[in-house]
Amino acid sequence: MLRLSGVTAGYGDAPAVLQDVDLDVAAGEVVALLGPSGSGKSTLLRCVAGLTPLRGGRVDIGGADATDLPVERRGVGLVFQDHALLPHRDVTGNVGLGPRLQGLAASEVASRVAAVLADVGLGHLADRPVDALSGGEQQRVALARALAARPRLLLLDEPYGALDRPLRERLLDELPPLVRAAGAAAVLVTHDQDDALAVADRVAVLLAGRLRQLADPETCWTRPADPDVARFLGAGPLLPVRVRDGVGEGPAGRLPLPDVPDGPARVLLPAARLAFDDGTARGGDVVVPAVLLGSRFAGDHHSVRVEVAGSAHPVRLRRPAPPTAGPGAAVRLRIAASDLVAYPGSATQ
Amino acid sequence: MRRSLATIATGALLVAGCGAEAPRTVTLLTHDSFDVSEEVLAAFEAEQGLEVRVVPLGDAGAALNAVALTADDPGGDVLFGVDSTFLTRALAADVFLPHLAADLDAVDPSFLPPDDRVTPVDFGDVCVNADLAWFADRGLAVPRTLEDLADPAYRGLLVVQNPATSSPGLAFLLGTIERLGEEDAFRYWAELRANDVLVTDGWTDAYYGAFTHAGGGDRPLVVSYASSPPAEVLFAEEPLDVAPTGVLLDTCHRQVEYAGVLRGATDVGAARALVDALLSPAFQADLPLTMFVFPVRGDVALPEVFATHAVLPDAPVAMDPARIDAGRETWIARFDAVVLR
Amino acid sequence: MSRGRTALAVGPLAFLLLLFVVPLGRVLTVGLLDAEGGPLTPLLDVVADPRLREAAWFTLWQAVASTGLTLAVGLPVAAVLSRLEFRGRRVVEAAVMVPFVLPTVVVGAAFVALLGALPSGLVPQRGVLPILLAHAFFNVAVVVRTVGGLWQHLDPAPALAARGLGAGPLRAFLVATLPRLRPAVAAAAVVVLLFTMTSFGVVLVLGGSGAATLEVEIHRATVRFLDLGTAAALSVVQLVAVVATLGVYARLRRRAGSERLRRATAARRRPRSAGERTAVAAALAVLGLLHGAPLAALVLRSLRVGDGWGLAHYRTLDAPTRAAVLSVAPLEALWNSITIAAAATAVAVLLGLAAAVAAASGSRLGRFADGALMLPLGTSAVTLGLGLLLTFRTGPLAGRGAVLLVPLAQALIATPFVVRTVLPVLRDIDDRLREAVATLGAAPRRVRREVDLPIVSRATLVAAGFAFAISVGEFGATVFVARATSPTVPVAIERALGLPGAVNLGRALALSVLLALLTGVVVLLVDRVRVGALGRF
Repeated sequence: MLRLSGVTAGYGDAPAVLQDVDLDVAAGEVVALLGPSGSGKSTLLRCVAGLTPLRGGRVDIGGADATDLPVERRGVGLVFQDHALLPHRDVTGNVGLGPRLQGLAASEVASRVAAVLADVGLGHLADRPVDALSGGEQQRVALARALAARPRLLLLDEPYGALDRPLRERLLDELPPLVRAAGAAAVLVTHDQDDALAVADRVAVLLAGRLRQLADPETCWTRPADPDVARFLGAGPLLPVRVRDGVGEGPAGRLPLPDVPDGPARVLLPAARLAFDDGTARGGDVVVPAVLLGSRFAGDHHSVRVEVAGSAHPVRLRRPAPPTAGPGAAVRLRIAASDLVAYPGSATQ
Repeated sequence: MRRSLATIATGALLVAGCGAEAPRTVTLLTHDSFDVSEEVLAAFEAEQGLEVRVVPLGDAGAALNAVALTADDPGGDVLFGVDSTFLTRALAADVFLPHLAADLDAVDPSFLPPDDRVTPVDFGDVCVNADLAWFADRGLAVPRTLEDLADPAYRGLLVVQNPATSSPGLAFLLGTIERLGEEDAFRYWAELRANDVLVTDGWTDAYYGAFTHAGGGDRPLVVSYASSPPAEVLFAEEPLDVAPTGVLLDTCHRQVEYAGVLRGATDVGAARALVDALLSPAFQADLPLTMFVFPVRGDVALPEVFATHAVLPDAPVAMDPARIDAGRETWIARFDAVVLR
Repeated sequence: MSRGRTALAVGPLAFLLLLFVVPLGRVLTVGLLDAEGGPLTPLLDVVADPRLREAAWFTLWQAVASTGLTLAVGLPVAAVLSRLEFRGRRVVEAAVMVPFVLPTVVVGAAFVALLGALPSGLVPQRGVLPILLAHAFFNVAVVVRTVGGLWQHLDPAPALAARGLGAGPLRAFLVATLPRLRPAVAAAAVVVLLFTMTSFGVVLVLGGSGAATLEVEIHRATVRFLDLGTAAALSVVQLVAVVATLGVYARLRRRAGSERLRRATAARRRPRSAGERTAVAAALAVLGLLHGAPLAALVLRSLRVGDGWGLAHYRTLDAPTRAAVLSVAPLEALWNSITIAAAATAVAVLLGLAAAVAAASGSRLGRFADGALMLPLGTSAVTLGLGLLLTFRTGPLAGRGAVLLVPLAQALIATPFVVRTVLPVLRDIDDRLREAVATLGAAPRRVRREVDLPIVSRATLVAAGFAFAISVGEFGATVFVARATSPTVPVAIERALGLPGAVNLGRALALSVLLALLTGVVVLLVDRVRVGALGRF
């Protein structure tokens, strides 16, 4: 549905904000565009919508070149964090704007508005002025307005950033079915990993204007494309090692790295794959020493903070029960050797 | 409202159907005290095929100033009501065109101005008036001269007007200066102050406010006009044979009122006709009972009530307009300092 | 596009140059340079003249006294309205604001009506006391709005903490609340000072002979003594005083601006103690007396005919009057006023919109136009009027052209209100609104129709209402440039008030009631369509 090839963009004479971005989104798919603030996420969204001109590259929407298509003819729906609802129109007036602009008859507009409002659960608020609605309701109206225009592509810019966590999770849960039902594709810009994990079929990680990884969430978190992505995602402890003959030596001991060339490297121990070694390590597992920092009860599990020797950043691990030892105790963690991710080359920092 | 709509409609028609027969309008700029009988004005309008529009511009001073400020296009054709007090200012501001009125030879020569740009129309004397009954009731002699007014016997009895804001107030001040000389006049005013003179802003406040006869006030002596006694008779609720108020003839100062054709007039011909009309026997005879002034023509009969009750001083005092213009501001300021501070 | 918007600033700036800068320049040259006796003589004469020195002194002290009186009435009212909840509070809040939108001459007429109805000797009908009362009547709204506005947003916690530490209510107020209100009180005081210093209509109507401010002396020097040099020199003195006051205001605002406000704490509560209930009653009583009495007297006395009641004064309003107040029937003056104000509104809206669009584009010229258009507001109306008179005595706008000059003069005063109303709205339109509508399929022109136009047109409607209300009640500048052949209602009211006779008074009061109603209705309508916070300064 959407294909970006070599997209480069920027503002004025300033250096490019986006560099050579390639991205593919299939119909019915929700892609989360994840990156720290200033990474170019919103610019990428504006490039897709046609609100920011490209310096280079190409945008295809629905299989046709849309690079030079003006914004109003791209068939995209845009949803902002601050809703951007027209204050002088009521809910129906806002939602019906797209169909009206498409020249639909009044009766068709009305029926489409009614249908979309029912989909987002706002049928009862059709005649309300928009400033009488709560934040969540306004966000739903904004989504309904975008959907009512039957866009091929739904673009959401931090749509739920201003809402509290439970409401946000509910709205996120509702999103993918709506996108699929509309036969559209969606790109969701967020800086929040939980949002991305909650909604995305695939995650695109954007760092400093470059697309560093595009993959399903599990791949992103367990096989980050590079150390920067790993660090940004907080994927797990990253250890400096020196590799010789397929073995990395570092502060955490010896790690089997069979296919890694000799020389300096960094090794990621994906947190999603780490577990406490209660003497259950099997062949093929690696055991690393760590220090227990603390533990707290987190509702349905215990969250334990440990720091693997030699890694600057602590990591949280889930356990069904609290650890028996207190803070400062030495513990051992295990991980399958095949889950280690090595990045050859010396650390830049 | 209906009238204004009609005016607008007429205006629109005039614009639309240029050339349609409509009476020419001549605009008379004047002071708020201007008045004329309807039938006199109507006769003039019918005779000349003109319509007269009367535009009051405030008191005499304000009216002249409004015209002087917009001399190029004052919005009118004739200005009536420049009195001796402001004559020099009007001439200096050059608001009038020369005009020799048709009936000028019927005017008493003593009223003829030094300049052919203004035409005398009426005159009157500003004098102290007395409530005769008040003095009779108390067995007190009615004062006669300016000096009497400063006599402690008449303490707290006189009300005058502020010359800065009132035309008769200024005329009375000028009279004291003309009679006594400038220095002695202000010494005299200091004595009046010591004798508890009351100063009001305008003639109305004094006559209808502070004066015992007309206003129910507590001052039986008021600066007003020599024509006030006939007015009291004319407007009395019950017919009177004798005027209830008297005039102190030795306190009078004469004022002549002039009219002129405005330099910025749009219809100079009509303007000349209107000024001539102001000197016509019909207008002149109408003056006494509409504005309570005397006509400048000697050949016009005075109405009976006027002839009976109005008095004229034998030796009128009138300051030379040039002297007035030179001293006016200074004297007003000195009055302010001597009497009001 | 942006260059096109910037170019919009040219019109308003040219207007300002022609009708403000040039006339003000004329005042300065006439007052300072052009004199027979050499440069600066008019100014030196003014300084040397004891009467004018006294006028300057009176201008200052009556302004200070008016401000004191206004604060004395306004602060307790502000306290009651922002801290306590009682039945009818909203009505009272609205009532406090009413006088602020009334034309000055109408306020003068209302006090004439009131003081004339009081037993004689209680309050003099003309003079200092009536002026001070009328000024307080006008400006309590400023205090309530400025101080009350801050007060209701003030966190009550510090005062409660002080109470908790053992301070009595008064002590707690002095220690914990007053210091935080001080910037607002000071700002309100300076604004009131400025308003009362340049007050003209009220002083002209209520001053009598003894109480003349600089504004009145400027008017008097012009229409009474035809002494334009003195008038201009007085304007220069007034200008210096106003600029100094504005300087103080700017400093205060900068300081007040550093205070961060909390969201309204909604700390209003019902009065608890007998003392608080008395406070409410006392504040309402003072307010009722100050606000209600003059307006009630105005309406009642306009209906008073001889010893009975009736509409005679209203009925005779359309009578053509010869040898009376005006060259036109009073109702014609009303019609004049409405058409002139409508023309002024059209000019003000056009220029104000252009300036606002230019300023919103962010260009330097646009922002300059925005700032420059505010200048006439800080200048006294009488100085503006004198400048216009001096500049346009001859030329295309003299004489019959004055028909155009009056609405232009009023537009000069109304335009800044239009800019101040429209600009914030224009600036607050989120670009994303336009972007969201564009993605829905609207081409740029359609985007402006769907987004900018509806939002700005509402603000414009509000601005037009304000501009009309200001223009129709404008007196200070209008009285200098209006021709006697087409007087406006405020001019007619002032003249009728100055003439003797119950008929003239009755007509003046009837006209005042009509003008007040007209202004009131317009402001009420505006209030109904207002969007968000408008008319911010």
